[in-house]
Amino acid sequence: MARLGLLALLCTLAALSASLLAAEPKSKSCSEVRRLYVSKGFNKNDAPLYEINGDHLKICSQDYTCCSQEMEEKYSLQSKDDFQTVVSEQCNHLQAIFASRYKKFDEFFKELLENAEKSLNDMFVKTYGHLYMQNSELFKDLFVELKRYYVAGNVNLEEMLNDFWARLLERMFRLVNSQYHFTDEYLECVSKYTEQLKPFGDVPRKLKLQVTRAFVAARTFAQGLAVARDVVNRVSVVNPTAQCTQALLKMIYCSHCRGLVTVKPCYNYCSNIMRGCLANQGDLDLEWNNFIDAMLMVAERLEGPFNIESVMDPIDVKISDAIMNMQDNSVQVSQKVFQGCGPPKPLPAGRISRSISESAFSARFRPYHPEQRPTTAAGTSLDRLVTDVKEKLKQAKKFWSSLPSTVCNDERMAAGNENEDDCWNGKSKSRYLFAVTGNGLANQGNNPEVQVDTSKPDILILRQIMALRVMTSKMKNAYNGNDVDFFDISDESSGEGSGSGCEYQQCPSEFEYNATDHSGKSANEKADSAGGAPAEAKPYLLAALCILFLAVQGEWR
Amino acid sequence: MEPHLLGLLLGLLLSGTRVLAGYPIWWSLALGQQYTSLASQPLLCGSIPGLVPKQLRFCRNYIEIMPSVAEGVKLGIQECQHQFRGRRWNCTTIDDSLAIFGPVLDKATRESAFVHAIASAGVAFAVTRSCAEGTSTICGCDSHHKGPPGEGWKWGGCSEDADFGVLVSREFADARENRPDARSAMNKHNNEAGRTTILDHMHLKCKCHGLSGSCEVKTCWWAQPDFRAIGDFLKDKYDSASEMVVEKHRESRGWVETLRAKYALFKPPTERDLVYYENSPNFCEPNPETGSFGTRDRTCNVTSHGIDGCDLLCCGRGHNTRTEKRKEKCHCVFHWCCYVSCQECIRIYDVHTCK
Repeated sequence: MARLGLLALLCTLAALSASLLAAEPKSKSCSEVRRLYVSKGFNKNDAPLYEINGDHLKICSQDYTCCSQEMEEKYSLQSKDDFQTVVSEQCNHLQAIFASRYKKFDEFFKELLENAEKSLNDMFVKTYGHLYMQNSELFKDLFVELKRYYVAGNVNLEEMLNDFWARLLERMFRLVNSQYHFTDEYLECVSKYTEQLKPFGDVPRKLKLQVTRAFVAARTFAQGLAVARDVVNRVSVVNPTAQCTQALLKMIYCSHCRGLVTVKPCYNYCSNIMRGCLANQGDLDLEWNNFIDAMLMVAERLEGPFNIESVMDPIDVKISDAIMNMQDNSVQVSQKVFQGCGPPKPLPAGRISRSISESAFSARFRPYHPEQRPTTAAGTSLDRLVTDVKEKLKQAKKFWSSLPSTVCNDERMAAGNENEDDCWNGKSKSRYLFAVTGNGLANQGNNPEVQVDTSKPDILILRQIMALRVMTSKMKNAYNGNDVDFFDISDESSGEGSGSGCEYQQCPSEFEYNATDHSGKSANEKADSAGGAPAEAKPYLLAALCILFLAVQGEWR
Repeated sequence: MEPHLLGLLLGLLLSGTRVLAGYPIWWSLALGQQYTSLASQPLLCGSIPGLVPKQLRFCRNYIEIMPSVAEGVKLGIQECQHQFRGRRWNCTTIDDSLAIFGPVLDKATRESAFVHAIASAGVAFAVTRSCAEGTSTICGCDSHHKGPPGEGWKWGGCSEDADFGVLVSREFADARENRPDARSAMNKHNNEAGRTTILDHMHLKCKCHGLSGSCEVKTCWWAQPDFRAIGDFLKDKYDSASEMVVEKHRESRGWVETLRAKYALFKPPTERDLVYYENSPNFCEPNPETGSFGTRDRTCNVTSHGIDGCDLLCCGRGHNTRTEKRKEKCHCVFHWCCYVSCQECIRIYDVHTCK
């Protein structure tokens, strides 16, 4: 009977213990956390009404928490999405600037060439009439080559212009000596002789220099805008690493698990995480700034002596200057050529009369009415285009090194600089004590918030750095008035192809890396599962201990 | 003896200091042939004598333009020697001296005013011409045409960018004229007068386009005048230069010297006039201190009553006459076809030189 009484007492104690355990979770409400969680479109059943034991959490604090395991997983995905959204917004804005400016420049340059060709045709029909129309394909070919150069490169401008002047000389030489018949061999001799005589004056030399410089600068600048657009487009797609994702979750949503739904992350805390997550993008900054400086230098040239508008607008007048020089010098030139190349053969009498007839036919006089300079579809002159782009370029400097700060300045991401003592520091609402790390991959070895593998730079970023470096080099050549060997474009294309292949080759490596990470997660999960079981068994353990204690006491008695 | 020797050395040092302090030594750019190939040897900026730090920076930053600057100074000196060829002081240069005109320009004379103006104009002119040549990557034609095309013509050719040339001249020539003394003020004024002359004499040149002398289309462009016209104009300004007096004022930065017209009844000088405030020395007799070479043995014009005539040029000392035999081509005949043959004749000239 005494034993029965003892058993009854033990049962009573056990019941009391269970009652105490059940009472503790009711001490804090999670209603606000739950409301925000549901407002993001998540399942309300995931969110507990009162704080629970946090042993099931992987990243956030395992103290008493308002987050279930499902909540932590969903918050992890959400924080990654929030991060990608903010970064993407910044990059898309910059990318749109370069895309629109490239389009404007491209339209302007192409329309400038069209207008120049039309202007030349109009002028030459007036001044040279029938003789021009008989030989107009010569000038059409010139513009075809100029357009081809701008669109595709692969045109040696100097050789092309030399060829143009040689053909023009040949035509004019026939015309001013229409009483003769010239064989191809004779004309070849004429060409060699006239190299010294300069029948067109200094126009060919000047025009060659001006056209080459202006076209190289214009094409390189337009290509630079396109490269900038593409680089930003590629880099804006950010895939955070596992360590970055953990840090983001901790920064953005772990405060919710503590019930601190209105406390923003500390600015410096955010900066460290962003510098860790955007480490590779930070390494882009040096080459990006060099690229922007080179673009600004070429822009200066485009506004100054390499202004393609001031070269192409009057190109009809310049070529006409050359033709007039040849016309003025034709007697002396012909005499010297005849001395050097020997007397040419006269034409039969019938052809002579026909030539006279043609000359009579071509004689005409028209009053010239000056026209206003044609306006391109862009509705602007080159000066205004360049001035506008220069402003945008200056604003784009340091974009990649300031991207972490820009992201942290977004009110969705962090508290401002003024809330340094009352902000979320990853553990509590307090001050953030760590120093801000430097930009770039090499500086992330000591990042206290994000574990970064500094030995593995991002291949995509490295390729963008190389693309910028190549374009910067072309830009500097264009600035110095040097023609650029654009055959490396094909190398660049094949390089990109190799890059794609490289990406595929890197896939196994990346897969291995992911596999390692995955196995790590699996191990963690197993550990958590093992840890979970003891947690679940805690009430029984306590009861057993109580029983044991009482038993020992009994024995002592 | 020692005190006397020390005194002599000190005098020389002070004299040298005075000469180098105010003299535009960079005019010696005109002498060195190596300066015209600066582009391939950029380090030579440091070896150009007399450059002040600002000019040195300019040289290094715009090495491409420096040959034009050197050419411009040379052009100025040549024009000076042409304009003063018949005068007592004829712009003689001293080949082995950095002060290429000697001490004659140390004083704030009319001659100094002219040389500053013509050198400054020469630099502006040569740089502008070089830009129009089209070889420079820093400058080119002036595409901001000043004014709309007129009736029956349109812009063509290469409008010379004289504003750029003037800018370079101002940047380089005035770099050392930032002292608060009267000489600095005078030099700046005269330098600017030379540059303004270039801008004032820009004119439209035109060309007809069309078959066989017709003028279906006419094109025009802005062009500099021949530099001789600039020299003629500045020579007139030299003849009518305004004499000034020096005034001192206390300003926040200390004493500042400015120039005021000496004679209130005369028209005050404009920015296009030359100014001076010291009298010219007597150039009749040689005087090492003033830099005068004298007019002895100078060729003079016996039939002229002007400054180049023997009476005035020889300062009343009289002249000598000698005969010279010169070989010249004469009786040239054109032979069909095609050469010219000439005979060689001897002709006797009278040459008059000052005693």
